[in-house]
Amino acid sequence: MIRSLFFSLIILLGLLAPPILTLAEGSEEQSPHVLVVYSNDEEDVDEYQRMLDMLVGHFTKKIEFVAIEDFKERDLEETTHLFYQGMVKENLPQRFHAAVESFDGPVVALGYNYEQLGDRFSFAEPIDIKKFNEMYLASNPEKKIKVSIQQISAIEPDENSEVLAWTKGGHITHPLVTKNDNNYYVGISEIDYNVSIILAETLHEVFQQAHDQHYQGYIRLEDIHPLVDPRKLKQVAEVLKEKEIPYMIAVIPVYVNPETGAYSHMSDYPKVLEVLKYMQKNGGTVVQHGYTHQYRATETGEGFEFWDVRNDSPIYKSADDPNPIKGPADFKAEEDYQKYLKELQAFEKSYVEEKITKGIHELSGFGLKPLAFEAPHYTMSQNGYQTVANHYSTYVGQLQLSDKDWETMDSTPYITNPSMLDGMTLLPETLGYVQPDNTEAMDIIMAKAEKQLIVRDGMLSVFYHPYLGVDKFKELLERLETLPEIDWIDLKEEEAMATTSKLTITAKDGEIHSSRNAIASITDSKLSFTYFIKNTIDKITWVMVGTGALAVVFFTTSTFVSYRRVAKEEWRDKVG
Amino acid sequence: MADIFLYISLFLIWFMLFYHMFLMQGGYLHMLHYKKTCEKWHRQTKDFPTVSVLIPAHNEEVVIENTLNAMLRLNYPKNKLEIVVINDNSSDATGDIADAYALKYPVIKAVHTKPPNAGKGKSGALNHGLAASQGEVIVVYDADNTPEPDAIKNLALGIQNDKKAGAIVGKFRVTNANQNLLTRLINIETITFQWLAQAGRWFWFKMSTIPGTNFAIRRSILEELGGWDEKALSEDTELSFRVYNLGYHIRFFPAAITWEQEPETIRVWWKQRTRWARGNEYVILKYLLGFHRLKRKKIAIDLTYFLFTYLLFFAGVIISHTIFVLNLFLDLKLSIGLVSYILLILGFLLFVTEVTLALSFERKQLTWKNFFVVLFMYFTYSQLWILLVIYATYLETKRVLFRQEVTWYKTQRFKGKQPNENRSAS
Repeated sequence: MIRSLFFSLIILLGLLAPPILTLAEGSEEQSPHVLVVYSNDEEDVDEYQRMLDMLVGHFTKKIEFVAIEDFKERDLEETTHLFYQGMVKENLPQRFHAAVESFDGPVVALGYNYEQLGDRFSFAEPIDIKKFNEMYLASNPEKKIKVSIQQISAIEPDENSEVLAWTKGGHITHPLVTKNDNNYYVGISEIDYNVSIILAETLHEVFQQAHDQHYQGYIRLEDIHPLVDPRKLKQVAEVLKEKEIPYMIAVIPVYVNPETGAYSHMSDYPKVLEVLKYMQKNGGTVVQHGYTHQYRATETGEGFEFWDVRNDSPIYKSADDPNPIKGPADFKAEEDYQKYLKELQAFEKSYVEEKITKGIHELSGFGLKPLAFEAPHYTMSQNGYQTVANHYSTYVGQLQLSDKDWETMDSTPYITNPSMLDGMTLLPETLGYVQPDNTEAMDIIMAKAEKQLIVRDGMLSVFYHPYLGVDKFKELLERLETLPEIDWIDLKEEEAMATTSKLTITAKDGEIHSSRNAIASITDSKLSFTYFIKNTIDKITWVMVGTGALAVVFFTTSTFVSYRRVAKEEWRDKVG
Repeated sequence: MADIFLYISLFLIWFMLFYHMFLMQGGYLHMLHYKKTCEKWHRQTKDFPTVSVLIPAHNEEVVIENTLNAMLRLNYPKNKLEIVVINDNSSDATGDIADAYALKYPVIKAVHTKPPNAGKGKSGALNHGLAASQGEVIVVYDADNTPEPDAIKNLALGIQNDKKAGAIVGKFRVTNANQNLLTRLINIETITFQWLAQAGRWFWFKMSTIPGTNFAIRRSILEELGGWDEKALSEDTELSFRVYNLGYHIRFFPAAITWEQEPETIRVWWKQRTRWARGNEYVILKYLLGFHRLKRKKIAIDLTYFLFTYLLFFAGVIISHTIFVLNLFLDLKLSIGLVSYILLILGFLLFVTEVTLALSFERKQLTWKNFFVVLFMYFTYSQLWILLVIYATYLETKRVLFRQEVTWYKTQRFKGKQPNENRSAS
């Protein structure tokens, strides 16, 4: 009887279990191999290839990029899906033309030079470069995305083609995505976020992965460092707990005073730490948001930590090193420059590594278990992302897409595994944040959300600074509640992981496990040990207060009892 | 840094406070139980042991007569009792008075010690008395004591019925409690000490300290131990440790009551307490160094207690006071906050409630006047103890370093009113 009850309980729980996050789907063998061949002016992939990387990463982890001049026929050996992204007009080599002709999987061409790809793209008759200011899916023409005026390589598709998405300028429409058999043409190669939305939806068809309509999202409480107001933080946490919304907490382990340079750790602000632990227990998951959130002497939360803004370069030297970073012109031979560049990257790698490792160890020592990483201001070089990938399975936020300019950054509409993240899963942030002084802050978020809904499994993710207070936060939630149902991501339910040479933190089915036991993490560093001792002492002192107070009450009561007893005896002696 | 010191002092102090809390509980429970034991023993005891009462007296002409009169009033089979006055090299009339009483009353016996083996201290005098006495049970009284008539009987009852008791310790009360503020304070202190430390330790650990007066000990034990340690300044603590070490316990039996005089001036009090403190320090050192040789490790409980009182708790209080004062002038960046103030207040309340509880056990002691004296006591009398320990430690260190010989300072007596008529058996 009991056993069958237990059994049915398991079944019931199985039914109740929340739908599992739709990451890159399909098992390893069946998942597509994508080759992206590109023409651009750069020596390497540029931000537009990386935008494509993020889009394709939703369907597979196997994505490779090859510059057109480096393309060899055998690059196609394992490829199931071929993309050509023409950023510039140029003559494509004959071998590529031939390879496309003989390739039997789907081919997607974007931008220029598609007319050189032979019969497969003869369905698209080039017209001219045209302007437009709206985009929409053919399947969902009511939902138009308004954009500033942009250009498109307009085509005239033949009658066997199907237009999946359109651009519109005035009354004139042009195909944006056109399908003919298993060939697709996209009239824009400079993929921006709006184009991403259209492509995100249409790529489901390219990859023949008919994902269900299922919106996921997350709320991330941002810039939580030791000096935040614990009261406000707790209020926000309580709202989320009450609404049973799992959420993320972007924690900066150390606050650096910009004037004195003094470090404040979580252990110095036990009330904040206490709230964070409460949050971790009640739906929150810690995301490591850098270590100090600054590089040069700037305030924590304001500064960039993994980007040298003054030089607009990755962190290639220590903050107080006055020597300028050299360029290729400073070297006689290219070889020497490459060697120099390697050294710089090695410096950056160890810098990032140290910050991440310190952060994981410090948080873990205080009982906080980070399961994902978010770079301050989302800025980080490609080398940086690859370093993070050695430690985290999950990245949260937007991605910097160029190593030359930190402002070149963007998001993507859904969860993805782009090749640039070297195995990490990206949980993109798509709705922005509540801007403190903007009265239309909520409307801006909602407008973005509306766009996200165009993609069947679009992400609805937003971040909030708790110092703004709980009222604004409640307002934000109320607005978000007007959207179709959002499945809030709980990192603890994912197979998220953080690891260093010392410890590994994993999550599974709502539980966080650490490879080091609590005592080991406590004794790992002086900081956590001191905190532990302080915390314990604090508890002991309050136990002392409790016991002492009880004793005072007991002694007082006993005094009255005993006084009356003795007085009675005395009286009896007198009388007797 | 200041934080670390603060917490160290906090825990040292509160370890002691918790121990006292615990002892006071035991004291309360013993108070509830001991009378039944006493009644039972009175009913079942037919045969009493022979008792020798030893009264060491060094220049005690002021009080000795009174004491001897009280001895004559003792309610005990006359054929089983002898009173031995040890006139220890007195230069006053003590010897004459003792001789006169001995002549008149056969129960009293006078022993005189002469130089060079005389006047060196209480231990030496007691050893003399022991040699001159016959009883199976030895009872000691100071020369200023006025035992209640049943005191000896109750002590003997304990020895007779509790075979594991090496010694039975009675209760002492203060005759001149209402003389002045100092005696009032001492009175409160002695009542609390006996109910908290003596009764509490007896209840929980079957241990209590043999005081200087009003206790009974088996002659066999004294013979086995070779009498009192003449080097010890506080021969009582020392003797207690040796009794424990033989495997006996020491029973605190408040039914046996004596009344004694307490110092009426701060100078006399200071000298007496210095002697006690030094004596205890001597014992700590002796037994701490020789701890591995002790057979009964139970002594560790008392040794720790003394160690705390004279060293650790003391250090805690000093650190805490220092931090408190420093913090008035400097920002020590203490992180402790609210809880420290609560503990400070709680410490005071514990003191007050423990003392008032002890006072409530005695008739007519829990008065409003005494209650206010208790409040006052915490900030004055109790704090004097800090200076006392410093001074005693200084003297003891000097003694050990320069190998000085111990000299026994006899507590000065006061001619006063006769013992309080309100004495009671409670």
